[in-house]
Amino acid sequence: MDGHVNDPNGPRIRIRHLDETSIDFVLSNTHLSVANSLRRTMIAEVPTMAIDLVEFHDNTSMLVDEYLAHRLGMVPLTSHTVDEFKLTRDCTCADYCKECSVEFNLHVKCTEEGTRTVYSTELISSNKDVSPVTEGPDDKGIILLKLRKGQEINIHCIAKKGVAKEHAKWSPCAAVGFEYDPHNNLRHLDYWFEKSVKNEWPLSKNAQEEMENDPDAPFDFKAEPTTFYYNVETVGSLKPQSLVYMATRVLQEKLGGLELALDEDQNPESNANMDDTEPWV
Amino acid sequence: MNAPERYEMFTLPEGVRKISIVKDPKMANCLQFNIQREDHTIANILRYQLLQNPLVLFAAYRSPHPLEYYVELKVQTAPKTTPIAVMREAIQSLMVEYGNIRSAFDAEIYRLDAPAGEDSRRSARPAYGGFGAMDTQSNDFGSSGDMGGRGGRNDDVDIDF
Repeated sequence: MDGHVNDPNGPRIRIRHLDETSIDFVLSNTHLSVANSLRRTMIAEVPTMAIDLVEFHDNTSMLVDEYLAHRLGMVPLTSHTVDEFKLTRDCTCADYCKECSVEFNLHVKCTEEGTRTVYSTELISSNKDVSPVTEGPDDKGIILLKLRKGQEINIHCIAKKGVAKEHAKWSPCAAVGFEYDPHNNLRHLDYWFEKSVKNEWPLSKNAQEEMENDPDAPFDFKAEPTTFYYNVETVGSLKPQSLVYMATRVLQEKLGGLELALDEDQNPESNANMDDTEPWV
Repeated sequence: MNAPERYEMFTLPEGVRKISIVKDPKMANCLQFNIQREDHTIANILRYQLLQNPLVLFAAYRSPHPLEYYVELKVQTAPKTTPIAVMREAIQSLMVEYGNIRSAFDAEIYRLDAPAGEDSRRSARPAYGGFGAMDTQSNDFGSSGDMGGRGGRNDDVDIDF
């Protein structure tokens, strides 16, 4: 029963712009809490891959090990196959394995005069589907470090699946723009101003999509926001459309888990603290 | 350095129940659901969905402390139903809601992809991912084409309504 696309009361989506790394869409006919949960989930609970462990075999560069390790963690990795990986915590392996991680190697020595720049695409991945994000085939990726003659870097990285609740490096989003009620008809905002609200708080482009209420009309206390404007920018690890798609799935999985947990609590041996002999009065 | 580990925010410890139910001795037909390892994301939508039900007399949640990773959701209902029953209804209708959002999103992606194949704005995109991941487009479920008809994927039938 996954389709009420034509249901006039169901949620509606209109995509205003879509490209490689961002999506601008309008979600309407739903509640603020639902729209906000989608935003929160996209930022923090959609899993991706990111480098989590770095073994340094050799590092004679200018950068200290922990600086470089942190830097490597931030490198976005293509994560469209993230569903095929297990969380290392849930995996049966002792340390890490193919099922829950991807390994990267980087061994560069500068032998010439001048500066040797090391890019993220020089990381050699053990899995063809997980690799540093680039903008097209000619892009060398992110500069990881620079080496001078005689300096060498030899490292082994382990990328794991994770969510941004643990560390922001796992966030698939660079930014999520979220707006509703651009005219402030609902008065959820109380703007500070010197002389004139209108002049000092310019309207966003979303204001063209809605009408401003008559300022003389009585205030409707029961009005609720129904239209939500999103502008999701990804870091490239997931496509923007996959991100929205995965966020709804993550939320459904969470709700499914709660439903199961409720069923468990119906068992007689549960700790539900519910005394069946005593009516709840 | 006595900060809790970050992963404790979302991993349920061994032997801990996801939901523990506490009866409120002072309110009739009222239960408090302590939902472990969840935050405002889940609690706020549940509270809203519960309040849509006319049999729910009271529904509210709080997050007791930023370092205690659970939420307390208190629900009181009219005598003709129970808090557990209305919770189950709320969870199910929210799952349908997200399913509807997803199918609306699918339909919209399909609509964007459909017009005149070749000059569609996303068909000429270079394969994203570049180095070492040249076939991203073929097996990325978000890539153009298979979003509308979801038949090609069989891993998204998990908890779909």
